[in-house]
Formats: sequence, structure tokens, C-alpha cells
Amino acid sequence: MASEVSTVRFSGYGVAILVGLFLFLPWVVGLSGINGLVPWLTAEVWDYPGLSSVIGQSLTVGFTATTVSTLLASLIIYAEQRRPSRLWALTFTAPHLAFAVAFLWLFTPFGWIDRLLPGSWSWFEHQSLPTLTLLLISKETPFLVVLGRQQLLQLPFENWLLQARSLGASSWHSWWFVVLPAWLKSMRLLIIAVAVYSVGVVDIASVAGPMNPPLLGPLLVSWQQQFDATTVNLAAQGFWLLIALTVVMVAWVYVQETLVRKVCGRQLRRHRSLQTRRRAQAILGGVGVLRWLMFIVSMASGLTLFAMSFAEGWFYPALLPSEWSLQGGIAAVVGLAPQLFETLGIALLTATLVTLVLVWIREWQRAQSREIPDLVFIAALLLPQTALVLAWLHADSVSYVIRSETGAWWVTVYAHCWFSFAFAYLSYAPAERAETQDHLTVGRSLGFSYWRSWWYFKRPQLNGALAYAFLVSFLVSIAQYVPTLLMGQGYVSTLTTELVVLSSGAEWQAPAVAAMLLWLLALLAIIVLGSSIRRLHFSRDKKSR
Amino acid sequence: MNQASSTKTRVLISSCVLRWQQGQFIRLPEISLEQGETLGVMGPSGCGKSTWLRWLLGVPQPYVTISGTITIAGKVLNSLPIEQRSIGLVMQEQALFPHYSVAENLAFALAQQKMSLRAQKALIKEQLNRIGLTNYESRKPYQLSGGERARIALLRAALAKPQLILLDEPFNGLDQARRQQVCEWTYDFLRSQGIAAIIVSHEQNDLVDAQQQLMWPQSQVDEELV
Repeated sequence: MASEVSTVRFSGYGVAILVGLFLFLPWVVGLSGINGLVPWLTAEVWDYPGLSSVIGQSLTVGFTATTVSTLLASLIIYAEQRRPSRLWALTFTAPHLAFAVAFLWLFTPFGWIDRLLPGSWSWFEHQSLPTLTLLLISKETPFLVVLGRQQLLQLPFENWLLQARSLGASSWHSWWFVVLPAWLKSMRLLIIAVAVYSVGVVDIASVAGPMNPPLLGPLLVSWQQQFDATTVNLAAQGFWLLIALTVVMVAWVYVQETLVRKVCGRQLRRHRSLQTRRRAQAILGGVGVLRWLMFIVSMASGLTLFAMSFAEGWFYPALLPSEWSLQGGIAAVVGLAPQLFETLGIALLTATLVTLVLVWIREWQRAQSREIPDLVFIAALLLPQTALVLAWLHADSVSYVIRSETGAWWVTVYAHCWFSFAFAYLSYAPAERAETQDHLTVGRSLGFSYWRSWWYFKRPQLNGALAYAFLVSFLVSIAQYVPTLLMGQGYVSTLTTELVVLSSGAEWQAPAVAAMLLWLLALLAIIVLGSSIRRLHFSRDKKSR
Repeated sequence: MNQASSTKTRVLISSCVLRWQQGQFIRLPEISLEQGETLGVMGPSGCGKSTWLRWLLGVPQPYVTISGTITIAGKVLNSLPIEQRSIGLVMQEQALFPHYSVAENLAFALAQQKMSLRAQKALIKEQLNRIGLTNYESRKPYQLSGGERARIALLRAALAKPQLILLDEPFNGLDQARRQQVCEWTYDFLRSQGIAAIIVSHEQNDLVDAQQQLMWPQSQVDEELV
């Protein structure tokens, strides 16, 4: 009865075609655009002054941010396996650029900490490789912790730990030698997403990264934006270079995973039960400190933005502004109102569309009793965003559509949806998989249609997961930089694109206001959707015990 | 292979009471096992058998308060952590670490014993031969049948030289014919190793070869708490 009910067609072919188009059209268009990106890797790009530094810096940031974030995330998840902290989720949800702007104002020379403790933070240059790397680690670690915990809950790790300990291994060794290799494997796609983002990073790199020479991501965007035949050709060649660096990073993720697996395989023969308690205690203590440090930095960043937004005259080395001006701040907010509403509108539309598509795709898989690999839905994360957007720009169909303002706007929204979908899928799918279809089947047996039954019987179980997916799409959308800049063609201006422009100037109040608004948007979404999400995490925590 | 302990193993579990928050409780009789002896614990699903087994192992239980004393060879284990209790555990579900080969799974159990890598390899080879799984060293758990996995899981637990092995529904997931076969092999293996064991199952047929049998008692209601 159950299978008979569940395989009944639950929607028309029209919807299926639309969803299929939504998912796969960007790949088709991107492939057609690649024609415009040949000839590739000719001598021209290699002659570009400082290219080796550009490549070296991009790879350094990519390797360091990926490896350190993965290591920190695994330590945090180990330390918090029984009592996961929600503080990471708060840091995770802070928009990248807003966090970067605030971080710079806190830690770089002439920043607030430097004013508080003069000279202590002068090694954080305003735009440098270490600053960028640290920023990326600060943002990617919470991302891996939040999503890594969901991956962990899908592994029978408690049984493994129990068996390992019954064989004489300490809980520390059991974790590292038995759980870690399996967790890393389950995290492969997410770690690749971090590696790909880090090696091709544009948004934070434009604000906090080195400028002379820059990283490959910002360099590609600037080449593409100069609208000069030579530089656009350089951008086309740079596209392939970025793809090559991405391949190196993906290979590195595999090497990292294999190395851990091999080392653990060798070391597990030598585990000792009693020698590691002190080390484990030190790790637990270290993670506690790190958790609070990250939380304090996040909160201090938010406060700094707020203070900067309403400060009038804040000269070095004054610890606090000489004057406060509510009017100045409000005037800056009013000046940014068009970008604020544009950001909000696009993000709400994106989150709504993504959530609808997400639900449809998961239900379709359930109804067909067919589980499609996650890779299909999150493949967008596994290629650098800049490369994908460049490929679209070189497709005739896209370049034709984005000539008009309306076309550019809709293509930008589509790009937001497409990139947000991958993150939302990662957030929603595990929770949906954990739900049985029993309620829905009972509803259908009572005569309800598939979707009415879903609405009344299954949706209430998934409210938290749906709110979480909506929130994630919203947050990803408000943080989108490259697709908005290049697909929007200047017609679409959001807080994020405006923030990058404003940050390049000498004025500090306007970027602070833009960053604050971006952060407030994120906070507002968290507050509105927070109670549903808390319920989700509470019930998950209970299930995991 | 090993004799479970040079001294005679005597497992004594006494004054054991399980109490639920709702006021129900179960009082277990004293359990005493000699070296190589097996106790079969029979009861329906969800009655607290597995919870009790985990308590024996030293895992804190969130919803049940369990009191009692566990003594092995004269040593009280109650305050010791899992890894120092010398109690092995075998589960049918997720019995082996899926990302490691058979040899690596078995080597994990030998880590506490001062043994060179060469000696480890030789011992693993010899033990696999002995249980009829020659040349299985490099296979991964997903390449094994349910019966083969069960045998290797038990071998792994035995290689760590525990004084007691707990088997939690060890034959679940096996078809009836194979279940019988693996069941007989398990009792023979435990006897040959001289290790005391407690086997928990909801199937009576799984426990007929056990020297001692315990029918899990019905829960009672504590009038004072209610």
C-alpha cells in the first residue's frame, strides 16, 4: 500500500521540466560559453607581470585556508560531539564582506584594537595575504563545523567509538583513528567547496587581499570589467588558469583525505589508552577558548560597525569617536536605501524560489524511491564562481539577455538562486532524509492529494529544516558578489557590490553603514526564522543522543 | 591464540537494578560466569537489555538509572572507563569500521599488546586462516557477507584479550540458514577461546547453546515513586 501510494505521480510534467531547466540550463549555457573562452593559455597570459606571484598567492590562500579550517573544524567537532555549541552558527551566518570590513577595522594598524593596545596588532596589514587567509579561516571554519555536524550525525559514529573503546583505545584515539577518516570522506564535497572558494575568492579578496599583485579571482574580474579586447582576452585565458588551480585544489583535498586515512590506518595499530588524556584535555580547553574568541570577535565586529556608522570624527589614536552623529548615520542609511531594498527583494525572491524547488526535488526523489547523488545538486560549489560566471558571460544567449535592465535583473536573480540552491540543499536534505514518509502516506490513504498531505502531515515535521534552508538561501543571496557584479552589468546594485566599491575609497562611514546593513539583514532573518531553527536543532540533538 | 586470562576469570554481576524515571524498575538476579561460559539473555525488543549491556561496558545511560556491581577476577569495574574494563563488544549492525580493511580492523585490537608489525601481520593471517577466511586481509567490510562480518567482528573482539565479551543482537540481519550456522560457530569459537560472554537476543533459537540462560524479567512499579 505504502509503495503504491508513494509512486503515484504527484505533479505535472511542466513542473518537472521547469525544475530540470533550473538545475541544468546554467551548465548547458556555461558549456556553450566556453567557445568564447578559447584560445586558452596562450603566451599572453604568461607574460603578464607578476603572474607567478598571483598563482602562488592564490594557491597559498587556498591550501592554508582549506587545511587549517578542516583541521580546526575537526577539533571543534571532536570537542563538541556531546554538547554542540550554537555560537558557531552565529559566526557562520555573518555575511563574508561585512565581517571582513569589521575585522579590518578591528585588527589592522590604526584599527580599534591597535588603539586599545598600541603596536600589538601592527602585523595585520590592511590588505595582505595573512589577513585574507585569517579572514577566510574565520569564515570557513564555522561553515565546516555547522555542516560537518550534520554529516557526522549521518554516521554511526557513536557505535564506532564504543567498539573502538571496548578494544582498549582511548576516546581521543578512537575519534582520530576511527571517526575522523570516515567523517573527512563524508565531508569531501564540502571541503572541496571551501577549497574552490578559497582559491578563487573575489569578494573578501577585493577588500582585504593583497593588491600588488592581486589574487587570481579579483584579477580575472578586473580584466573582464575593463571591456578592452586585450584584457577580455586575458580574462578568457585566466579562466583556464583558474580552472587549473581548482583542479590542483580538488586534488589536494583528495590527497589530504588519503593521507589522513593512511596515517590513521598505520597509527591505529599503536594506540595507547592512557597517555592521551592530557592532550585531549588541552584540545578541549583550546576549543573552548577558540569558541569564545570567535564569538567575541563576531560581536565586537558588529559593535565596531555600529559605532563607525554613527561616529563623526574618529581620529587615530582616539579610542572612541570624538562625536556621535545619529543624523550622519541615518543619512548614510538613506543613501543606501535603494541597495538595501534591492538586496532584500532579490534575497527574499531567491530564498522563496529555492525553498520551493528544494521541496519539489526532495519529494520527487521520495516519490520515485530514487536517491540522486548530492553531487548533482551541489556541483555549482565545486567550480569557482568566477569561472562559471565568465563562461555564462561568453555565451551569446546570456550576453544578449543581460543587455536590457530587466534581463540583467532576472539573470542575476537566477544566478543567485542557482548558487544558493547548492547550500540550501546541503542544509535541508539531511533533515528531510531523516523523516519517514509515514505521515504523508497516512494522509494520502485518508484521501488527501500528495501536496495537501505534504502540507498538513509532513511539512510540520520539517518546519525547522525548511526555515533553515530558507535562511541559508537568504544569507547566500545577500552575500553574492561576482554574479551580481558581472550578470547585473551595472543595472543591479546590492549592498554587497556597493560595499566593495565603497571600501576602495578613503571614506570609512559609508562602507561601515553598508556592512552594518548587510549584517542587520542577516540578523533580522535569523531572528525571524530563529525559533523554528532552534526547534530543529533541539530535536536533532535529541535524536543524535 | 590467547587464553582469556592467566587467572581464572569469574564474572560477577550483583545487586543490579534498572530504574526508569516513570517509577518502573527491573531487578536482575545475580549473574556469575566462569571462564568460557556463555550467558544468553532473552527478552523482547525495547525492554532494556541493550541499555544494560552498555552499562556493563561503562557507557552512561541518560534515561535509566542502573545500580549494581560488576566484578571480574575479583576487581570491581564500576568506576573504570570503557577502555580499561577489558570487556569486548560485538554488534551485528556497524560491527566493523567500514573504511578500514579486515587486517586494519583486526590490528586495532592488537594495539595494546606490545607486538611488532610483522608479528601482528603473522598473527592476523594465522587467525583468519583459523576461522576459514584465508587471504581476507585486504578486503573491505562491504566486500564481506553478513556471516563473514560477524566472524571477523568476534575475532577482533577476542584478539584484544578481553575477560568478557558482550554480544548485542549479534545475529540480526542474517538470513535463517546463515543465522544458525554463524550462531553455532560463535558458541564454538567462544568456548575454544575460553572467554566468558553475554549474548543478548530477542530470538530464543540464538541462545539455545548458551550454558546459562536469563529470561529478562518483567518491569515492576515502584509504588513510592508513583
